[in-house]
Amino acid sequence: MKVKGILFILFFTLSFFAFGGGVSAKEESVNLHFFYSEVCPHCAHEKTFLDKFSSENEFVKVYSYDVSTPEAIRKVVHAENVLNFKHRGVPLLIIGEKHIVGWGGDETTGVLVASLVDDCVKNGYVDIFEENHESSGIAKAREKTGENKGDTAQTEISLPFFGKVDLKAFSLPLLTLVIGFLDGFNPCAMWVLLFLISVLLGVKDIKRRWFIGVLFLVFSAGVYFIFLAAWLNFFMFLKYVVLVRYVIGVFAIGVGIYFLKKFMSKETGCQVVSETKRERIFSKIKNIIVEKNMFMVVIGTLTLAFSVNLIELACSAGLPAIYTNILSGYELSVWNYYLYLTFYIIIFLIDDLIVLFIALTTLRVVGVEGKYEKISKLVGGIVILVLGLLMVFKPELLSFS
Amino acid sequence: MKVLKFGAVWCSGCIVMKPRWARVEKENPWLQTEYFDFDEAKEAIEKYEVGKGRLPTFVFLNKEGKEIDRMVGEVKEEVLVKKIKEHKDK
Repeated sequence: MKVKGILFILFFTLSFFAFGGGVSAKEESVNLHFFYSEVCPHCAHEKTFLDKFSSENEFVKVYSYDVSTPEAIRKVVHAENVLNFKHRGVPLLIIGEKHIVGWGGDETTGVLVASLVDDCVKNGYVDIFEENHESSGIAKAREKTGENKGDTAQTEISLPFFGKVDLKAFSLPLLTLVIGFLDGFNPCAMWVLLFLISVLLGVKDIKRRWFIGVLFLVFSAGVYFIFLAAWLNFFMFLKYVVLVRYVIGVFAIGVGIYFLKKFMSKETGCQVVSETKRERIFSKIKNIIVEKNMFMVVIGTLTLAFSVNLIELACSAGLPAIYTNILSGYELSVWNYYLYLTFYIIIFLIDDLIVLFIALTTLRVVGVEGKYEKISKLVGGIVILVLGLLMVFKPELLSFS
Repeated sequence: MKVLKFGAVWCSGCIVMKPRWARVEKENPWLQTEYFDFDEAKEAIEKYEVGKGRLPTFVFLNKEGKEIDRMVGEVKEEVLVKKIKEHKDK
């Protein structure tokens, strides 16, 4: 079961990121506008492809612009306004009304480029950089169809059981769900929740019991959200530093292997937490329980939530760092980024809420068996290992915009 | 034979083992056990060297009080019963 289970999960995860396509081009002049940077390795690869592509297809003309020049900047701003997109990186290729950011290789982006050129030839072509181009026409066409004509195509894949899936609409929410859920099974802070529950079960006032328990989880989620936001902003700031992606990718590979090793291990039970850590947290919890002033209870609970997240930062940094690094590679509005972080936190909280709810309702702690942690280590290990490998070797497959 | 059980309220494995031990002790009334809370029984923790390992830890003592076996972590009930029967007359 173990081997079949691992193979199935691996196949599902890999096919989730797969693209496909293949086209041919007919004779009609098509201008490709290519924006690059001298220090961008993917730009160099794409330039090689475009040189070869244009030499094999005489009707294709490639115009290249170094983004450090004023001319290139003017053209990019023009393209952003006409095609209604936000330029986020290089290489950037404009083909008619479509734009492609990034380079995935001849078999993926190369095929997409050929497909778009073929589409231009078959269905008509508008060069937005030509002086007589009808930018208003493009806007009208967009209004008519109700879609952003600047979007790249070919984001549908076929999955077993699910049929055709549009990755643009599906993948980031699913990735958030999977990683958020796995992170929720993180045992790093579970010991604190269990101690809190054991103390709360001794509290006679039922309303106080629930108030403190739920408040702790809400504050924990809030503090974790702040940490996630900090990671996200860090990776947004370093977005064009390729080394960061490689470092996180290698880290993810290490985390994935570690998780799988933990799954294979026969060790069960809890690692004994250091006495200093325990005493610090236990005294905070005991003070909250006996405190009569509700305002101080709120402050105490907030302080507890912050302390726990800080103490366990090293233990629980892996998945948030990996997720926010991937998220930073997507072209989203600010509020969309934070919406995804909120979604992540909600999923992350689910298992703790279930444990707390059952404990305070039945006065018994259930759902903390080691087998759940083991399953999360297996699934988590495979997903993170695949993500790490993609981040290092095929990062373009993680960006669907 | 006597079994010393070392656990903690903050340890999920200990919480899982609690009802299993309750059933085993109910079915084997002759069995002697003693529970030590990890945060309170410092002497016993030190004596049986439980401090650096994992919890829960179950130490099996013979009639002379000498340690003859030890189990760590979440143990299936049938494995626990088998171990207890194995050391019953020691």
